[in-house]
Amino acid sequence: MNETELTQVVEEKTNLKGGTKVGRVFVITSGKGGVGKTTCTANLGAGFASMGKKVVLIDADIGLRNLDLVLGLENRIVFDLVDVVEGKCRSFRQALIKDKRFDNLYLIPASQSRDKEAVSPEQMKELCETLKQEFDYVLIDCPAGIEHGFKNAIAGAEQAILVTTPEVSAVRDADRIIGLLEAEEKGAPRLILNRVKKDMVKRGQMMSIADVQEILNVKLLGIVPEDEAIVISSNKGEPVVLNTSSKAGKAYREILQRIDNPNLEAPEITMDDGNDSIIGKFFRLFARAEA
Amino acid sequence: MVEGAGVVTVKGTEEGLMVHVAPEASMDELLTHLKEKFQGEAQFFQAAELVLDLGMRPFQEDEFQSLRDVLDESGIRLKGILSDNPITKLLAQNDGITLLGNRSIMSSRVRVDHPVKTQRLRAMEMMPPPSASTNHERNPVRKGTALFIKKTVRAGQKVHFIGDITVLGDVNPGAEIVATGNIAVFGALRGVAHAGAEGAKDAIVLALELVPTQLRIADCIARAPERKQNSVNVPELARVREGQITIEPYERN
Repeated sequence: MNETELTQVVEEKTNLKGGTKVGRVFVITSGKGGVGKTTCTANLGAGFASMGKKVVLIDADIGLRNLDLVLGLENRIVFDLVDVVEGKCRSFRQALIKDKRFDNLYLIPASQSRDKEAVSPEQMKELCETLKQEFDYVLIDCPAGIEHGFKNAIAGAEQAILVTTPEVSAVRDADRIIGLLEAEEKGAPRLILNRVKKDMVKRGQMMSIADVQEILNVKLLGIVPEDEAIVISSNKGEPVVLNTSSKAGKAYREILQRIDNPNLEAPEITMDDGNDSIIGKFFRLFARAEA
Repeated sequence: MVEGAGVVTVKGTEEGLMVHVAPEASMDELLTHLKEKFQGEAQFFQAAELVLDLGMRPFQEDEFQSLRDVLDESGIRLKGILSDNPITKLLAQNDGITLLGNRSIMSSRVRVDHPVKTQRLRAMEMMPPPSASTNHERNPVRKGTALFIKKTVRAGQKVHFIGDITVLGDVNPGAEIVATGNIAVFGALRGVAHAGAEGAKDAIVLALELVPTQLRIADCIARAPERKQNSVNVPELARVREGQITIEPYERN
């Protein structure tokens, strides 16, 4: 199949009609690299899709594209984000790649060969405006750092989901990101605490959820435990959220519920020390006060 | 700030240092006063970012250059200017100087494709500012000597202020608070705080939870102990005694 044929097939299959939806646009960001933004984006996307929502994922990490790999879609890429904003394809639809498992999950991949400056915040804003008319959720995978790529990724987003791990450097960068999001008037982000190791926290060798929240003090969306299933599923290109026997998968499914229900109780943090009595109560109190 | 009163006034704001220029000041007066101020308080202004509020004052192209020379000499970066004068704004833009605030030149629809004649310049100076009344709402400049911050100061954020600073929130690790006067934090102070930044040794730092990365008062520096200590959970006060920073529980008296 040559290039033109292939894109036509993709375009037919997407079968996108209308422009009547009012979708929500989230950016998944962290500041620091390697904390799990891309994995998180893939899982939230697959999770929403499994709930029957129409979802598009945008890989804004131009030059270092990864999201397609985690979803196992690399071999289907013809056009990318830069082609869309530069008008090299007829419409954004041509760049949409349909997921293997879900008919209602799509990806706009990043360009491999260009750099972050190839796209401007205004272009991203415009693209998100268009996309949210046709999708229930637009999820943007933000690159690490706070430079041009970050500004692109947050430009079109209405809300941010902050991913961090319980390490001082990751938390410091997350704190910086909260400040920058405030300055851009994106409001306070919600937090996913990733790769928490219960045993290490118990032994006092890792920052606890309370330690992280003491600094960041933002609403908690969920706690994802360190799970080997994540590595396996990333390498296989199958999001862990669909794996019912995985602890991380369960955590992601809870997060999906909380994203749309801000009044839902904050996650249990029994993981902290096996003793929910004091800290758990404190967090539920905190969640209620914020609601 | 006594010297230069009436010609230049400097205030710390969330945006950086805001320098107000009196409308009647001549260019020479302005430059002299700026020079005096920067050299007299070199330590405070070091590597500062400056916003120049010119109000309705007319400014000419060669004057921008003289201004830049003075700033470069003192190692100060001009972040941008605020102006209500359309010609000044235009010249600044041509000169590559950032215009701050929403009073963009484009919205006032002034376009000049050829060098501006001085006569036209004079005529336009007389026009009332387009948004004089809302000017200070958009660019909150604290007129008093105290800055009140009602949020958590986060990593990477810096606050410099001439006067006292009160924070209702935390000062997180990686954040920096610098005041020429006292600092009070109604929350946890975990970042860097510098009170009495121009040399006032009687300045104090007060926090509900005083666990700073580094604490400076005037020219004294103290850092957190390498080993994490259990927080005492009482408000604490830091001050200079016999040339050293000491920390004591804060007690009402």
